[in-house]
Amino acid sequence: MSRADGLRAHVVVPREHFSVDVSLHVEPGETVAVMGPSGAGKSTLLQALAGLEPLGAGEIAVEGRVVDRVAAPRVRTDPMRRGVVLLGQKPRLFPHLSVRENVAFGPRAAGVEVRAARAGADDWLARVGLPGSAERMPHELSGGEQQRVAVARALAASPRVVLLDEPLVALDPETAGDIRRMLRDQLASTTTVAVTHDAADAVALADRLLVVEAGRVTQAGAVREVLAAPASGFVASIAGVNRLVGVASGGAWRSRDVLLTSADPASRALAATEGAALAAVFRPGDVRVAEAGAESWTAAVTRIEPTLGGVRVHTDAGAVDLSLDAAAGLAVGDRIRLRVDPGLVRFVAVGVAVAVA
Amino acid sequence: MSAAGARGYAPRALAIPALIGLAFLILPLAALVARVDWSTFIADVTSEAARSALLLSLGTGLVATLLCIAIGVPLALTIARSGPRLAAVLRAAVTIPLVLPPMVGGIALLYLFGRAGWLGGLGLSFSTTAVILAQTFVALPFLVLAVEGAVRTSGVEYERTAAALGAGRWTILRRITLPLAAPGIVAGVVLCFARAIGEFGATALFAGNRPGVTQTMPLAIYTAFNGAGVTQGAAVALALLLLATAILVLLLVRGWRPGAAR
Repeated sequence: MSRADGLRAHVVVPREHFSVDVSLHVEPGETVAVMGPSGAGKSTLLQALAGLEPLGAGEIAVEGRVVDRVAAPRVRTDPMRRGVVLLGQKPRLFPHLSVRENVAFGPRAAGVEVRAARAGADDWLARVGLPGSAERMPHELSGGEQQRVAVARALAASPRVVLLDEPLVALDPETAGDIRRMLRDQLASTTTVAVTHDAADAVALADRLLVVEAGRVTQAGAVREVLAAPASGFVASIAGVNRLVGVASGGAWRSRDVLLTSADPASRALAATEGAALAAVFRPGDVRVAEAGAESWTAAVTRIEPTLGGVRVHTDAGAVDLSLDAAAGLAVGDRIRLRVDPGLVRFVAVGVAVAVA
Repeated sequence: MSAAGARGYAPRALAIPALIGLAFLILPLAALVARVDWSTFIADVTSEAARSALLLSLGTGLVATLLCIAIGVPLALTIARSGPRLAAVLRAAVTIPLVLPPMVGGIALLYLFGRAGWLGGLGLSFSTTAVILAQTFVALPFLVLAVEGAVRTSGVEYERTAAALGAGRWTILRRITLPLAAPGIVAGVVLCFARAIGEFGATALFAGNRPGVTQTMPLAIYTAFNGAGVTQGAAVALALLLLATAILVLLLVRGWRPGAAR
């Protein structure tokens, strides 16, 4: 039972329209974020890791010990003996137990003497920022406080692996920010898999990011690297960048009448392979509405979306952020001319998943 | 969150049938109390026959209720955690004694435990044990259905959470499942005990009417009312005693709620 192994899993679960088939490896103490569109199989993956969903095929090993295996010799360890704790959107505090008894539940179930378990619970409550709440009942707490107690309860059980299933999604942004910080501190040395649909969670909590689409891993790697080089439209959308697919042509990127160059050396190297499928990646905020000129392109407005800073104008060839004044009078169907500085454009190879874990 | 006692928007006219319903339940009891002959009341309720019938009723009712808890709670858990089709079949099976006239239940018990029955060798019929069996037979469905509903409503999510925290099956049952179902269990126990001490038909046929052995309060009341040895006044006094005892027990059970979820 070497701790050096963390979590290693190949999870295959048949679903109605596709099967989830995901391999992942989490180093001890590492946090891996999992992102993907709704219904991509992220929650199924966590349920399978926790032992709440049977595997169709594959194997799960926690710290080197196989807890689930379909092939012979078959292994199926009960959820209570895996050392895997799942923390979901809902805190699910036991409503009939005080906050202290909730947190002490795991240790008591593991045979820790009542008094020691309660003292440990009080320590955990202090660590999640709720000292002095031990006597309260769950229904007396706010949603954010309940989620803090749920974190304390999960970690007090000294799990080998913690699974987070969008634990911040039901909270207001300020509370979510506080708890995100608290999670980062408390999970620093815990092997963690965190499902989220907020790139901010991935950046704040995780070392690596796994993108799952339609049950398959489509991209994996260090969080910021994945977000900077989106291999799919989904990743581009969570990273908030434009991703236009074209081909390498004469050391530049081309799609029909649009031609873009990049000042980035790695991008230029990719563009040197004539005819290779290539995606141009740039931020909507870096795009300018331009007069006619070199490396500008015309695009039809498809959607105008108000944002905090102004409007984001989506077109059939990339989105552009504009101020309210600049967008005044613009309507869907209008044609506008866009331009982006080559120093702000990167090229990414298409069809190759980046560094699958 | 709905505040307790919130008024809602039920039509006001419903107050009329509601009052009729209440009167229908209260007036017969008032009429009963009005017929009590207070001059002989003390003598009636402290008579040897009354005391032994009351003790027998309370004793057998208590044992039958404990028996119902011991076998009914596991049965309720099984039904609540079964698939929908099996659960429907099991629930129907549990409901049958509920819709059966208790007399028929008594006959059925006789054919199972009676001298010529399948389990006749046990020699249980026409004994105090038979009283307990008859009461258990008619009271068990009330407990099972109440507890099953409570367990099914509280769902498995808390149990899953407890399992992920490392709790074993017995720990989950003791610390999560049963406390969460406590309101349903209390309601079930109340109904079960009330049904057990009121049991008449099955007891009469399967256990008989021997004073001190199988003559419970309902049988004593019936005997007294038919004028066998005592007066109708005694029957009324006994009925009042049974009523008061039942109310007292119900109040005690209602007040006892270990770790109930609020």
